[in-house]
Amino acid sequence: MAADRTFRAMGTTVAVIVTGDHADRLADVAVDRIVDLERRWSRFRPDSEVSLLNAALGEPMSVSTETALLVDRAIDAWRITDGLVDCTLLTQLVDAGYDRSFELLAPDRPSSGTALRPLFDAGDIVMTERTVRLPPGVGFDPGGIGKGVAADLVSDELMAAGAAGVCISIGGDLRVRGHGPTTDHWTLAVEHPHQTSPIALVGVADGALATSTTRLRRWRVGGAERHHLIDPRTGDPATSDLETATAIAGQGWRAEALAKAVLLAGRRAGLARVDRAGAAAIVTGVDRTTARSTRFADFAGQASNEPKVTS
Amino acid sequence: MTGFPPKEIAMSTPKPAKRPARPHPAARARAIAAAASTLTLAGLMAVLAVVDSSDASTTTLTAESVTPTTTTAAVPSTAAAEATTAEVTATESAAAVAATPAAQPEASTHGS
Repeated sequence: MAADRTFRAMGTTVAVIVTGDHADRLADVAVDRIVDLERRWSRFRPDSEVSLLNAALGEPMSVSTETALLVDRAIDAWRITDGLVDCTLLTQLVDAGYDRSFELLAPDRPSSGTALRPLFDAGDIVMTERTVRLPPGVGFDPGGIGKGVAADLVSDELMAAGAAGVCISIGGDLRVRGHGPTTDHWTLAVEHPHQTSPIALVGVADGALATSTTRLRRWRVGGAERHHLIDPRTGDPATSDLETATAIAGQGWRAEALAKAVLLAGRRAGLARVDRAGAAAIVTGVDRTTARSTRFADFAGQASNEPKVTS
Repeated sequence: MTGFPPKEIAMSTPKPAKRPARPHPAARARAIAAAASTLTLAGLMAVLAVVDSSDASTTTLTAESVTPTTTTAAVPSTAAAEATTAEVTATESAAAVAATPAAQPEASTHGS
């Protein structure tokens, strides 16, 4: 038995598939839980824990176990990407024009001035079990890491509650585990940015896929096009020789972090980084060629219908 | 949104060097908390919050509550640093479990 739900949360479309005897009930549990996590983590809700943390002006703040996990994973993401993924770039993101939920952004707006180079990074966050202190002046933006942590957390809870399998897609970033609807694993497509047929099909028994791209969430400031991926080395929206980077890793937050790091690092350095991490990735460049990391073939199998790939 | 420094301040202060390889902040905080009983408060100038694990209440050490004789943060002991490294290695070894894909996907990734 399988049940699925599709709904809006975290500024994007969320899809949940649950398999097992209690699939229907657990699918509803998943919806409620993801909405609950959005309520805690949205930077666009003034009463969320993240908004309260950002308003704490450098003072330590007690947070829920869920938010403590989020901050801990954000610090981990910063660490495993050598600082390329940094959830403390809220000031820079707002300065780039992303100051409200994406659906509410005006198509063009006046420039607010020069980009700010970050003074602090996620390594400067001080946290203990349930207390978080941001450096003064630092804004915390969960971004994609929040989506990954949410998918990890909710899939954990559903499996513990008796689900046979779970697939959670938050804006197309996927966390799967257990049995799929037709096999004992899940088959997932990596969509092509310019074609209707996917770049690849991958088989995953327990893990996550996340895609980072500069093609979406774009807007204009002072006539110049901007997007949501801020490069912490410059404080500006990133430039890269890649259009998309898809990473496969054991957890959602890790796949999110690696996908973004690959996009920021570029094709050669990014794929080398994925190899070192023991993960897998496939990328498409601005020149529309694709390339895969060493371990990607483990997931593509023989049944893949992927087109010819240029390394 | 509140809590951000004026631009002129932000732009005039040099960016500290990145140190992503430093011990994990949570482990670092735990090590510092463990060492707190044997160190002077002055040595903990950069440490702002320590959780009492017995009741999860928060003890806050602010800049005003310690003697500003040094700006050097307390350093975890060698044993604590080794434990942190082992913890990090175990975490980073986690990878997805591969399977053979079927002909039809159940979901797709496309970025957001």
